[in-house]
Amino acid sequence: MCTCQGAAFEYIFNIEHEAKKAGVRDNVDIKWISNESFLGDFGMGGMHLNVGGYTASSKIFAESLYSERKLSWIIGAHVNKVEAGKAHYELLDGTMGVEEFDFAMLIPPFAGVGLKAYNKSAEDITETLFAPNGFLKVDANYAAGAYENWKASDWPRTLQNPTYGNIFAVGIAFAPPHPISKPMSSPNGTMITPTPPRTGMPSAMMGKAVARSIVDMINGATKPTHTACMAEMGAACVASAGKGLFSGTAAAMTVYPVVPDFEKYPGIGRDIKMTTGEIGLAGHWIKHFLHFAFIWKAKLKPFWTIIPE
Amino acid sequence: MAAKHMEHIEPYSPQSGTMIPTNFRKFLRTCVIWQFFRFIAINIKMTILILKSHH
Ligand SMILES: Cc1cc2nc3c(=O)[nH]c(=O)nc-3n(C[C@H](O)[C@H](O)[C@H](O)COP(=O)(O)OP(=O)(O)OC[C@H]3O[C@@H](n4cnc5c(N)ncnc54)[C@H](O)[C@@H]3O)c2cc1C
Repeated sequence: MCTCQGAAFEYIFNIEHEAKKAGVRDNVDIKWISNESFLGDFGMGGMHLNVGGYTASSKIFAESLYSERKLSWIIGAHVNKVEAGKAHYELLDGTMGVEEFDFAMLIPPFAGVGLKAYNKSAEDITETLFAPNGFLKVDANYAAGAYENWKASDWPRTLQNPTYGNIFAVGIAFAPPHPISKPMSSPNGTMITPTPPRTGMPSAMMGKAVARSIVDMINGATKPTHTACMAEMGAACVASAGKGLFSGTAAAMTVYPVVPDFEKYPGIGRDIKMTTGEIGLAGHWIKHFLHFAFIWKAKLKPFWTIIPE
Repeated sequence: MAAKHMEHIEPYSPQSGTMIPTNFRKFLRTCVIWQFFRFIAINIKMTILILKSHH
């Protein structure tokens, strides 16, 4: 259950790009090991795109890119032990495997910081405030149960803690009601499934909505006045696949909504017109520009408010 | 005619079961003129998405 697959994607493709630039690409064997049930799941159940007269799954585009760049993959894998030069893993079919490496990058499991909470009378209220994974409980439906019962409306809107009205959690800190991807486990009972990503744009939009609600509540409102729901907002994501002003590439994607809504958009759960993706130099330029724009925004320099999340 | 862009693909491997971009498609990805127009198009798409996401 690791965090953003996008970060790992950027890492592996940039390593490949740099190895090629340094002229040593033929000497390195690069492999992706992931808990996704298919390549291109990205923790959000994949996405569908309209390309060349077809509506195709991100699985096809991800496999295409990995194949083109000579990267192999092991999918549905839970890495359960790492020792010097060896990563041990279990697959969805219950079999075990070992991968030998000279250099590896592993993304840690996704969990809250593990804060303890106490009320005025010093009673431990950690379980009331936080989900078992350490994330803060908000206005989500945590009782949705099996995948078949999941709905877009399970996802939080005000991000307010149901017990303590003056506590909110946004971005990575809030406890999602459940994953986005269909959960999978091996016959040995090991859960092998990716965590829902909470990327920069949705995190910032939640922060903004909560900040505005808090302002209104300080001024007398009795409940939150603004909402930001991952099942109602889109996300624009630019994943680097190699740096270089004229040789770089990045996958520029838009998804709407982030959490699929199969009632509103039967079949694929998303608005096909607003869910797009392509790889190229333009994506790299956008990523490079955003880097400076967001630092500008973080420093509250002139016109920072017009820079979107 | 041999397909140069497919030469690194092992028959019956997982890689052979997917689509591989042609050399022309790969050229377009870093063709500055084409990418300039894609830059504008992607920015428009992202702006529409951002506007739709803000309530
Ligand atoms: C390698 C990587 C690449 C990524 N690339 C992208 C990308 O290209 N596009 C994109 O949209 N998203 C990307 N993301 C995701 C994005 O960074 C996150 O979604 C976003 O930063 C979440 O914001 P946040 O405010 O919720 O959490 P954070 O940015 O993690 O902020 C949490 C803050 O809380 C602080 N904190 C933790 N514990 C305590 C404590 N006990 N007391 C006080 N402070 C504490 C931390 O120091 C941190 O500053 C990437 C993530 C990673 C890891």
